[in-house]
Amino acid sequence: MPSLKTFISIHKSVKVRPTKQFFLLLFGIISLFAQAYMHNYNIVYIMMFFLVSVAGTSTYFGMKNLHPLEVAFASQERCFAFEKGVFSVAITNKSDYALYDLDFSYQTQHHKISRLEANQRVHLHFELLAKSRGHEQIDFISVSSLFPLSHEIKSRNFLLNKELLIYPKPEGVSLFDSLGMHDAAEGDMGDFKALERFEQGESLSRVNWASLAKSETLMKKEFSYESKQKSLYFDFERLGGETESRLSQLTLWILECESHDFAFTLSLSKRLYDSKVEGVDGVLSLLALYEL
Amino acid sequence: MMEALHKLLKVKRPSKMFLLDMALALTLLPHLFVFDAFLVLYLLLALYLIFKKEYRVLHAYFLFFGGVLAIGGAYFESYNLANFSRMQFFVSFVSAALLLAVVLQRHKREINFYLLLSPALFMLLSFFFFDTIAMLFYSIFAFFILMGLLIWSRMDATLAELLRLNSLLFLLSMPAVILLFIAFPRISFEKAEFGFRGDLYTSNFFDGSMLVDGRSFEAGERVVMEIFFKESLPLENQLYFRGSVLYPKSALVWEEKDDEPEDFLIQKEHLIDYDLLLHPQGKKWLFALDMPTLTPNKSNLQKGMTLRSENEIHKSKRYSLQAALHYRLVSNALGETLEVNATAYPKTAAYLKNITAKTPREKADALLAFFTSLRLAYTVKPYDLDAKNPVDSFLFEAKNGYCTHFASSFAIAARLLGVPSRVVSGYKADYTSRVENYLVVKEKDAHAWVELYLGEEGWVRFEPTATAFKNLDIEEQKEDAKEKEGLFHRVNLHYMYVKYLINSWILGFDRSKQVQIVQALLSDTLYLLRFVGAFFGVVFVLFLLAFLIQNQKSRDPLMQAMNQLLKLLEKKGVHKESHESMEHFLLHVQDELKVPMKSLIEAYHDAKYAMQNAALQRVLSEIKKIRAELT
Repeated sequence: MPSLKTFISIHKSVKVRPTKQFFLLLFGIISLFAQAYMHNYNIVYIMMFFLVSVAGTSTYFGMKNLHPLEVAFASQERCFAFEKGVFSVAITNKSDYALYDLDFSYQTQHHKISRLEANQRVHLHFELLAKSRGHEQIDFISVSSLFPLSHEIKSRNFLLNKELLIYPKPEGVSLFDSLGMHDAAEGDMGDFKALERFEQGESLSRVNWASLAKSETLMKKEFSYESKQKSLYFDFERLGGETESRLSQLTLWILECESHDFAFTLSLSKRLYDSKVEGVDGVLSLLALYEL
Repeated sequence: MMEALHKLLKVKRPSKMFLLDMALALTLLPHLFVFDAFLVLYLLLALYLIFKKEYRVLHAYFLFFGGVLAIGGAYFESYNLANFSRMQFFVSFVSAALLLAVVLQRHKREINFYLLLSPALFMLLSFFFFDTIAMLFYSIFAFFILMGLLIWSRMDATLAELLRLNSLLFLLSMPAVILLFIAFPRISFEKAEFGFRGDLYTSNFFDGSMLVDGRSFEAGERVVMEIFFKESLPLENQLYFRGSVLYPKSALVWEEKDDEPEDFLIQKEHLIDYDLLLHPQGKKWLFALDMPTLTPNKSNLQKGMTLRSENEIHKSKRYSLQAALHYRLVSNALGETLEVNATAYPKTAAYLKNITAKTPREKADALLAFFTSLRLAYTVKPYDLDAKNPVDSFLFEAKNGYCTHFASSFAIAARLLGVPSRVVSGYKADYTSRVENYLVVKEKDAHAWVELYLGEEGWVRFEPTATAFKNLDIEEQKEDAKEKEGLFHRVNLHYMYVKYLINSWILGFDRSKQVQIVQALLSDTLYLLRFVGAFFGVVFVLFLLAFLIQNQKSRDPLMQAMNQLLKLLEKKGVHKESHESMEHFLLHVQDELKVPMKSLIEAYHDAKYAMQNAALQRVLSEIKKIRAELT
């Protein structure tokens, strides 16, 4: 049995509102009352009292079903403006009993959990579609339940107050197109420059297996664009177009660099940012928050 | 057996269709007692087709037309438009139509709103048919199960978990149900007269006449009425329930007379209130304790202070009555009560000439002494009597008989002495058939006694059967007495008492009882305290039961142990965030509180992920150490 303090806390934290079935319940009570009233049938009166009482008592069990939940922001993937991103929340049942029929929602997205075991934690993933770069606020996650009886819906909001960083939408001309290179990691025949000795720690995708078969020496393929790797330099000021399109272009290039392990330097607001120092996320954050 | 029960309790949530089928089967049950054979056959056929694996349109047509034919067959004889105004016919017809609709929808194997609603409708209709204790228990049971099924549809749980929650729900609902039942305003409408009754029976034993012959007195154990005295039970020699006042029609037959003398109750003392539940007998007699002072609704007080119902009693009826245990009853016309042909009873008349008493009281006492001197024996299997002169035959030849013989002879003898007399027939309650203020009167308690008119004293009751010097049926009575002392008799009596209480305080609860309770609460402080105490006692027991069955604790001993530690740490100001892993949190605690946690973390991981049983003991032991350190 819960203490009075817990009881009040349950009552405060969970909201209850009627559903369509509530009106059906009301109709049932009125029907029973009419039958009992007309004929003074105590059996019908008793059934009516049970219906009223059980419906009322079930509210407490429904509220108790939501009370031990704890929801916390867990993680997020990189989110870009106008693109679907994903963030996840950790749902924890802090009680010693199982919880039932939980419907977690964020905006219009729903995740149903029919049973959450005692002390169990699960992660739910929600999609996020931001319409601008910068910060996107995730205010709350809602949970609702029709357990145990569906004449009323019990709901609870979990404040997250989490600000997610939304990067500019990656779009524009591909880095490879702008430099006249192919973006295939293994390169094309036309890009081949020379065979060089394979060094420890280098990517195996560069190994020239044919030379290994012939000479038993581990050689790597060297492509023409790779020699330009160290000189990749992106200057925001020198890019043409609107601010947002420039940011989008830079975002695209930075992501391409990341996927090909290219280091780069970004010039932004008269400052230079080295990818090796700031990290890709750090540089992307600068783009996300530019002039905001 | 236990294994099967254990397996049953572990059953997981079945499909919605299965839950609905269960609900339908449960709520259809009372209707099976009402449905005609045609409808029951139709139902069996429908069940066969519904549970056949494949669905065929032909079957649906067959079920539709078969249903229409079954309803037609069931109501063919009683069908006419006027019958629809009869509630019983109307309701049973509606339930048959509902059955047809449910069968057709269920056969389609599609759950729609109406099919979901049908169990509730079946239950609502069944309330029209029965109003008995069995129906009361069935209704509560069915409601419990239906609620359980409804909850199960929303609860991904085993049967055991469902039963636990449902029981909790019911136990915690009970206080409100009790309060509502007592306090919800009732109206004083008469109870509906329609409905089938499962416990209906009629007793034809009492017919308001008395035949004085040599036939045996054979009365059964059937209960004629149940009485509940509001304050205390009267003495054993006051438990006379008068049914008819009889006058001699011939030497053999005594019966009621339309032109009997009219009695007036001019003095009434020791008034006693009681409720009487009269079971159906198919006649109008209403047996009231001597001497009735109130006339209940729809009944009349006869000239001889007996009560008659306006209608024949075909179902159990409850009356609130009052009796005066001490009274003076007088009549203004006694002519017929003295009528007697002295020559018809020569021996008796000759003996009575020796009585020289002057006053009616002295004559009555002398008559009792005379009967005692005759050494008459009591038996329910008397010798044959002379049909022409049963009085002389009983008193001087047979010398044995039962109350009828004693009473009729005593009344005739009184008239021979010039004392007005009459025989009263009814019931003399057996004092052993009581539980506290509750008394059961059975057919075998039927009795006849005599009333003599003693001048100023008016009509006075006499018990001539008590003059018997011995009981020839003593062996049988010993057996009977032994039986009454037996466990079965006591259990049966208590069972009837409980039944009576349920009947009168639950099924028969009405406005008058509400008023009775309110008046008692307002006027009697002790009653108020007992009432409040009883209510809170019941609430306490219900909550205690709820507490005992609320055993929903986690079965994971590791998490139970860790949760206890978390609670302690929370008190120390270290809170575990929900996104934090246990290891991360414990390391944080280690930094914060300077308590080593490494061993606990290792033990926790071994118990949680390597599933090592011994690791749990290590966790417990580590927690114990940490607790000691923290406190």
